[in-house]
Amino acid sequence: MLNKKFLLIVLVAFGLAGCAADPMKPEGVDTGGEAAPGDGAEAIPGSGDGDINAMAISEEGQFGNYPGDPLSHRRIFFEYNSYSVEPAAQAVIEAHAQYLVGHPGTNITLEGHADERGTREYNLALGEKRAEAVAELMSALGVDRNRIVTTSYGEEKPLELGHNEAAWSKNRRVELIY
Amino acid sequence: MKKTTHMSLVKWLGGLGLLLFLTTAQAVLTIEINRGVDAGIAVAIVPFHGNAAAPQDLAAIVNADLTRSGRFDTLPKENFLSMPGANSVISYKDWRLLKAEAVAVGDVKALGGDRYQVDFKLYDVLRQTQLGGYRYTVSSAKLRRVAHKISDYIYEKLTGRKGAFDTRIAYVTARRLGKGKATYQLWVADSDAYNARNVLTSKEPIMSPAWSPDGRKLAYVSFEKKRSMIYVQNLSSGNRQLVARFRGLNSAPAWSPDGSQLAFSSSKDGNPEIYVMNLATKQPRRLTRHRSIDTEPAWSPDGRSLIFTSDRAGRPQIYKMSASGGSPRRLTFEGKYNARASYAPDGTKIVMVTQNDSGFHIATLDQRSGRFKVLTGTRLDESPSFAPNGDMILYATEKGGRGVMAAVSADGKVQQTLRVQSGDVREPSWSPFNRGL
Repeated sequence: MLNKKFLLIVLVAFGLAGCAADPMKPEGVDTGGEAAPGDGAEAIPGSGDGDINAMAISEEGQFGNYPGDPLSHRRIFFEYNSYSVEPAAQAVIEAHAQYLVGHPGTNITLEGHADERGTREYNLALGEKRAEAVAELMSALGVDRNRIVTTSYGEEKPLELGHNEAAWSKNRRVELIY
Repeated sequence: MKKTTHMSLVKWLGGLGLLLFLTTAQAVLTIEINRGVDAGIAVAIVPFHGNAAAPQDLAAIVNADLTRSGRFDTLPKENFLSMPGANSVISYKDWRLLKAEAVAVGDVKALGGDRYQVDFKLYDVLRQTQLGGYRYTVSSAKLRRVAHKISDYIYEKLTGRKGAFDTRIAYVTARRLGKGKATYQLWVADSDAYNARNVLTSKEPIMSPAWSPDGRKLAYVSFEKKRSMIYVQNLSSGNRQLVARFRGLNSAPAWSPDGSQLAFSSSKDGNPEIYVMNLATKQPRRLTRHRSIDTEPAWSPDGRSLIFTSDRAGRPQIYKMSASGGSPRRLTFEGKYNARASYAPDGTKIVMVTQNDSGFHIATLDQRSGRFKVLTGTRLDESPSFAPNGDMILYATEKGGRGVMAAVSADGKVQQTLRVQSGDVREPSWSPFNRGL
């Protein structure tokens, strides 16, 4: 009897505006003392800053701003459901590790991401594992593990919004944030 | 349940405290029943006498509840031959002609001072007997809950199963604002998605709302400090506590059945592992030890064991272990990807997300027979949770490029989509039974 499509359109009024009490309001300030140099609070991952990023670190001068410099690559991409670093990414990681070894005052945040497939919580862990995998490599290359912060946004901050492999392959990544 | 419930003295969850957090917003909710049972129970809900004096149409709410469950064939009032109220003599013949199996009638009386008396009776048409009735005396704000209680009563009398209409759902919406910016909001609404109240608004992602067993608090993951941390928020006061901000991940909170402990996943020791924290001491106790991902813990209803997702065999699968530790045992072998499992309230089944060649679907695994059953045909299903009566499973899916809520009956026969008009809806979670009124 109920096989027919039944459509109920219903108005939901959420009610009056209220001045939200402060316990509700996220502060948006990291109290963990983990912010990377150069004001990490503004670094919104997935904001489309491009793979080639001529980021200036004032006291060190410019780096990573000429074509072919592995330091210009700030994203490491992964296969579906994998947290193994691909051989192709090795050179980029080595270059960054070398840079960090040569610049003991500079720290790095590795921010892991996943594509939208699968569960959000599993993807959050997957992003963390990806960041950890890059951290382990850097650490093996001589970077003090305490200078590397790993974090994950899982599938929450995609670089590309599409629902296809072209988008997914860009979203499975670790962002290297100085 | 008492015959008469007076709610005036009962502090309603969300009362004055939550009014502060309401947001100016309107949303259109669309409920689309994609599939129902072939022969629902034919039931007539007669418009309540005197209802015009009240701000809510009780019969309409009851009608919508029962229709939504997919188990009833709610008869259109245009065909009714008589319109009895709670004090009328029922002409059974009128209802037999319509093939109604049961008829519900009621009266609403405005008592003044924002108080209403609702009388309701349910009749069995075939046996020509009254099945029961209730009287509620409430303020206007609680009239919708009275209607849901009436739906629960009818559901239980006619199906033999406890109703879950007088319950709530929590969910997250995300609205992209361009250039990597977005607004994330955590909501709590009635089970029919009315009375949505904003619990938290953030510029950073919010995930994994989990109801405390008493229905008074939500644990959730918020990225407001630029990484995942677990908060517990009291829904009536709005007060919240940061309970897990360990190094690395803090995610997937799950309340123990007695409400004293929180299981969660953290990489505090270098790798995503399952921990259990006593909420009084906040001391985490590590349960898993494996180099793989261990996340998404859920408690068995008796609190003795936990199930969780692990990729220790190469791909995510569901494992079970004692809440006191020990070695996990793998539960799922069908499907190449099984994750985010949780128990049915009676513990007989677990529900999870499974991947097969056609995408990610909701599936159940019967604990005794071992039968694995895929319930949905949609492609990107996530975050399943059982209604507290175990009859329906609420989950998130994608439709037309947007995240929507959907529900499927535990047997897979009834499917429906619930759309809230603005933004992506995700991470729905069904509350425990409401207490009192």
